[in-house]
Amino acid sequence: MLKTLVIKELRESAGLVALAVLAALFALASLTGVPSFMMGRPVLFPYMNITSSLAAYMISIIGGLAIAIGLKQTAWESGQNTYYFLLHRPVSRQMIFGTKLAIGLGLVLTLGALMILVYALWAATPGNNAAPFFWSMTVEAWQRWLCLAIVYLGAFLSGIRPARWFGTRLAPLVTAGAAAFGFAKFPWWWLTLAAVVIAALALVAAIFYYVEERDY
Amino acid sequence: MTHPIVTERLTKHYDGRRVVDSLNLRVPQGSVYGLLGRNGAGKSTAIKMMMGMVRPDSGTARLLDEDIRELSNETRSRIAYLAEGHPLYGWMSIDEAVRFTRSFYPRWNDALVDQILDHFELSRKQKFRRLSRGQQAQVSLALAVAPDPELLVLDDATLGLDTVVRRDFLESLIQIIQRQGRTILFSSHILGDVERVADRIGILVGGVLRVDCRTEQFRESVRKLVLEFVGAPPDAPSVPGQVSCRQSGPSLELVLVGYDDAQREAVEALGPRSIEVLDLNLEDAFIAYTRGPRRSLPLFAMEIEDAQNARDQGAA
Repeated sequence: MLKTLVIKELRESAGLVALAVLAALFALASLTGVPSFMMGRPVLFPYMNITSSLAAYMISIIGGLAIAIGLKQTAWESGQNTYYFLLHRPVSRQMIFGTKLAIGLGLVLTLGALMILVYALWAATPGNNAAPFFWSMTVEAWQRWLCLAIVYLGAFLSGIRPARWFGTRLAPLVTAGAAAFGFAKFPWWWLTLAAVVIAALALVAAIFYYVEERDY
Repeated sequence: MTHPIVTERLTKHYDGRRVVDSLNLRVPQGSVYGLLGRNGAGKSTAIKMMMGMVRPDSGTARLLDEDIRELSNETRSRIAYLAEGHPLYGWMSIDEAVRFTRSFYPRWNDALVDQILDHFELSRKQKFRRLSRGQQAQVSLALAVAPDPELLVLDDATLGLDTVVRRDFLESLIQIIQRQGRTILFSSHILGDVERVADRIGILVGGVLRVDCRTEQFRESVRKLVLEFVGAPPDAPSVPGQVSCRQSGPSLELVLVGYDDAQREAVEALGPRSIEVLDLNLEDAFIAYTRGPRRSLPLFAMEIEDAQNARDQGAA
């Protein structure tokens, strides 16, 4: 049954993931100077700092994906009334929502990591860029990548938490987004990691509280 | 286990309004129980609380002898629930929906699914979102009964279906489930359906279960009396068990619950020239009963074992 739940979540996220992959490919093409048929011309001298331009793309593309998946896994299911079908299956709610979270987080973090790795490998390959490459140059990007988890969990909590109108509904997402923005600016990666882990635990605890306590 | 569904003082408020009020319900094993009520009477909320989809503010619900808050997966697999509108994933084909649902159940009757799909001429390749409402109901029915449930709960499952599909759906349901002595609880607005299939009914009025008895008993006990007077009828007469009273010229129409000797004497004491006692069908009886003023509606005569329930209804 776990396999079935995983397949369902992957299937329902497939469209959003496909769009994000497409956008990420265009972004990488643009960053690496591959002639982009979107823009009609190659981009020369694609970067000065490996993280700044990549991070902007990653935040907008994978951040958008994180929000879309988080809301689709919750608010969309609620809007379709399919919770009544899903939650009556003889399996615990923890497993149902745990699977959703694992798949959602997995997709967001995997795609984000792939963006960083592809770009970093391109930059590390001799002949591609007239500048030295060190993996430490990617630290800032990884910090922002970690913060995407908070954005996803904020979106998920926004979708699962009961609210009277969209302003209060989006409160967890807005708060998580602001926190993620702050965490990404920390000067040390380990501080970002610690903050993200603590915030993620708090968000997951809140999610499972509402999973059990809310009315469907 | 003699009662697969037992609720005790189940209560729910929304926005400060009591939607379900101290619901004490006991559905006997093997019965087809129709839960009735006008829009907003609390039927759906009551069923959602019984299925663990909505948390009660107070009170408890037990399904198959287990508290709904601690319902084990094994017990849940013995209960089928068809929610209003037959929610299923539109992107799934019927075959995918069958495979998805089957994966959760240790017992699964694939032959029965095929039999139902064949009966309704449905192909497994069809996408759920492309099906009509009636076909979606039929698929939901197949998925619900395939795990061989002991208890089937349907929340307005025939809503929006045309007459033919509705009748086909209900007859299939009864044939499949009832022949095995299973218990069915269903809510409906279609009184004709209820009359044909339910052996017991409960009527919620303003969140309070005012009626809980055999269908026949309710139908036979709600009487309409037409009293003809020589002059003007008396204003606001009070008769024991009175549900409503309507004056029309020299006539007075009274709707009563029961019509025993004491009531007959009270009616005769009004001094009518003639008294006509009319039997009502279930729909007329339901309308007459639920049109009455909510708080003063007489609690309907229950069987002796449920007498305590009757006293406790709406007592929160």
